[in-house]
Amino acid sequence: MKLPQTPDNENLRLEALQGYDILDTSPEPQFDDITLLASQICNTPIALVSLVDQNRQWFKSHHGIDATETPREVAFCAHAINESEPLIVKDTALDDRFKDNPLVTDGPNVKFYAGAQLITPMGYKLGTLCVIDHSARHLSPIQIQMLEALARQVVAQLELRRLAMLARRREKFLETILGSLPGLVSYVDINFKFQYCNSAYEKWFKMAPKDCVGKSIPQVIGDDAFKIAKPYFEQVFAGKPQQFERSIPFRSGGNRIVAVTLIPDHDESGNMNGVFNLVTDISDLRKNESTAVTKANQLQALFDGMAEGVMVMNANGKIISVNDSALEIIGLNRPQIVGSNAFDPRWTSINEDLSTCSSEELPSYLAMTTGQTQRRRIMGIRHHNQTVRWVSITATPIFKSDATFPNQVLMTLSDITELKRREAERDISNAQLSASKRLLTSVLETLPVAVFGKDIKKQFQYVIWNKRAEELFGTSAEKCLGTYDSDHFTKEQADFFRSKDIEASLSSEIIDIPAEPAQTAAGTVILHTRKVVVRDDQGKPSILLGVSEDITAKIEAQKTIHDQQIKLIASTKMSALGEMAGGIAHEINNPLAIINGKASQLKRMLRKPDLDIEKLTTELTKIEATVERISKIIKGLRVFSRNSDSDPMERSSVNQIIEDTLELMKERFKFDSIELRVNCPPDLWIDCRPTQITQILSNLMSNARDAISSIKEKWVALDVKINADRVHITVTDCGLGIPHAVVDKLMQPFFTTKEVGKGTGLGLSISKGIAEDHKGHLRYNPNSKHTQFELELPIQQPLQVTLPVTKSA
Amino acid sequence: MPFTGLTILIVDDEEALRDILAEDFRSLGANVIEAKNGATALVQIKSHKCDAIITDLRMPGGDGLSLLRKIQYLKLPIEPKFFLCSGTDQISQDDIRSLNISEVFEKPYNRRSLARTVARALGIADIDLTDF
Repeated sequence: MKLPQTPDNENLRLEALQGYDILDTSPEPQFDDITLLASQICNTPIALVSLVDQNRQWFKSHHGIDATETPREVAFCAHAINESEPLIVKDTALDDRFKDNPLVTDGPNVKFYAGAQLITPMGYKLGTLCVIDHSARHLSPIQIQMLEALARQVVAQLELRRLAMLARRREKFLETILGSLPGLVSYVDINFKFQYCNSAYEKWFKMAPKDCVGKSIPQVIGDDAFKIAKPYFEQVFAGKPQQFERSIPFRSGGNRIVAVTLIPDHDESGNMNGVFNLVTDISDLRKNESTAVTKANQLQALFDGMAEGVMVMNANGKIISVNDSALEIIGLNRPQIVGSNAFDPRWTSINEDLSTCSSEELPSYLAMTTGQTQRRRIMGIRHHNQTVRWVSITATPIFKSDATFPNQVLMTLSDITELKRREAERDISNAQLSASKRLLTSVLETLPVAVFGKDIKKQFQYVIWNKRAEELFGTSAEKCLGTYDSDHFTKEQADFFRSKDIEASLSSEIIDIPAEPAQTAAGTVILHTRKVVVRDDQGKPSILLGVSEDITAKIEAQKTIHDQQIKLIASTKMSALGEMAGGIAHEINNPLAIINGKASQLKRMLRKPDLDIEKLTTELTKIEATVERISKIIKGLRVFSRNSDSDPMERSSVNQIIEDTLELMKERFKFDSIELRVNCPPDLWIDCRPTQITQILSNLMSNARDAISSIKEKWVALDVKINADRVHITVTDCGLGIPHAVVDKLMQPFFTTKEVGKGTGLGLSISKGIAEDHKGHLRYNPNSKHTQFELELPIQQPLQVTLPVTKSA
Repeated sequence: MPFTGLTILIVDDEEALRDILAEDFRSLGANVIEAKNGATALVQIKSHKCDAIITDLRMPGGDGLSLLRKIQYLKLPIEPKFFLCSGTDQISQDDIRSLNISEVFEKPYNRRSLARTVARALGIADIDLTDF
């Protein structure tokens, strides 16, 4: 047996065979009809449509036998496909190729074989249409031609089948695509009835596409929607394709914004068959579009609203985009600036030193050529009208994907004109500051007091030491600055200073050390030191400033003044005495006149014979009393005039003191027609220096007398009250109080409201001193309706100064 | 009696002094009325025709000078002679003239000299003061 040869184009041939997708398919009548015809025409019991596969022949139709396939080695057809003419084997027993073929020797006992090749339009021989007989025989040429014709019919059938399959595939593909489209795809006939609907109809209208088919448009999409769509359809039926976007209220699913395309379907002769409909929901798209527009608007607003100026320059240095702030800074409007470059004559870039900025210095140029961001370059933009806006420029290069060189530069401009103006002001104020610093230094150096400063944060290290401090302490500034108190003073003194320093630095007030002895270059001096804390901008203590004054001389001078004051006080007393002299003289002259008169009367009585002894005695007693009265006045004067400062306190009768006082004052009061009202509890004793209390009271009474001289109904009241262990003596006059401005100064030495020469201004200050010596007070009572002074004294003085009552015998 | 028929007002707050003066002039025959201050004196003058007024200078409730000013102002039917007794106070010459003061005495004054001066001012020529 001879094995069939494999055709040269075997691979392509097999591929073509696969392309028909026929192997192992069920029998089909059109093929079976052909094998029936072939067996009838050739008058053979067997006819086959045999397709030669890689390793087998497979029968698409087998008439007369049951077999569906045989191995390729034994297949007659495998030989036939190598022939260009039909293969006719009249008697297999006589043919070397087939005589020992199992199909010959065994069932189906092939004796005769005739096979016409199945040749595809491309020329591939897929197999044969063959007829077989069990006995040797031959075919007439007509029969052979018929067999060949039938073979061509087989191929034609195969072709049809293939095309139908392709069509089915295409349709399925189309259907899949249309089905997967979110939009509607349909075909509507001229009666507005759906002929095709894709699966989107189910989603949109809850109707299966097959249910839609045959239904009218309004039945599917709803009447409202159809009302809108109808005019478009009429246009399409007139042959004009329609494309529109509308918001359409569909039957179910509500309003949708849709893009609709309607394409007319008409044949070549122009008869209208229907309309292809494409409907796409673009609601979301529109929504997204509007969002995108909003976003773009927002970005633009942001861009324009930025306080910083922003410009974008292209690689040629041309400004291609600019925001409002940048326009404002440069001083041009958008059309003027867009497309211009940094060398526009309408503005000039200048450096901080006001020189014109060269092109190589421009940040945009540097950013473009180096690819490096130029940060915060300070530059001026001089407008045409010569005004300059100062800006801080940052130029950032922008690269296009992987480009090495930037294609754009983003420039941001911060307007720092105001900042710069303030800076300039600060420079000026700094200059002024340094001027005032110099002034301060020179003031410090010329001050006649020692000024020193200690840095609180550095443990009170000396940081200021003026010239006078150098002189006073004999330490140069050079030696002192940077050192501490402990480097200069004894530990005790340094500790004292430190404690005061801390006190001052914690206080917001001036710490005053009125007198402290200190060792200086000139020996021990008395210093009056004031310390105050200087705070920094944050209000934290920074420098402790001290001012020390050498008050040694001052204290001596004060002592002198004090001495002089004492003398003055004494002379004041004398002047008060002089003031009283008139009254006193009268006071003495009156009793003298009495004595004189009585003496004359007595003399006359003695001359008379009948001497009235009784009357004589009475008159003489009167003279004695009058003399006693004079001696009292003299005693009062003596008491008043002597210095009693060092007298011991003695237990004294307040009544007696008042009486002594009034004795001296009575005459003046009488003369000035001042009524005296005295109210004092009897038998009241206090520890005091009575002379001094008399001095206070007579001072108060005398002031009262002077103050009310112009009042018509004059009175002065002297009242004594006891309050626990203290005595309150008030002197009230009929005046209506003392003006506020005067009250504060009342007790100051040398303050007086009296005419020049009438008072020394010492009375109250001395009186106050006396009251305080007695552990008492002398004060003006501002709450009284009438002018009132109050002398408050303790009834008992502390034991050590109290002497037992000494009553003169 | 040299002062018979004449009325003399004595004004002094010091009772002892008033007494002495009153007794002196009564002993000379005068009708003496007394007052302890200027205010009282003014009342006395209105009810008595006074020929002379001897007054103290300093008195509570109306001093001597203001008493005399008030009397002048009253324009009485007879103009009394004024005599002033003061301590050591200086009386201005203007006051003496304008108030028509006859004499100013300083305390302690001489009784005889006072009596003689008052008598002379009232036109009493010879007055015997040997027993005065």
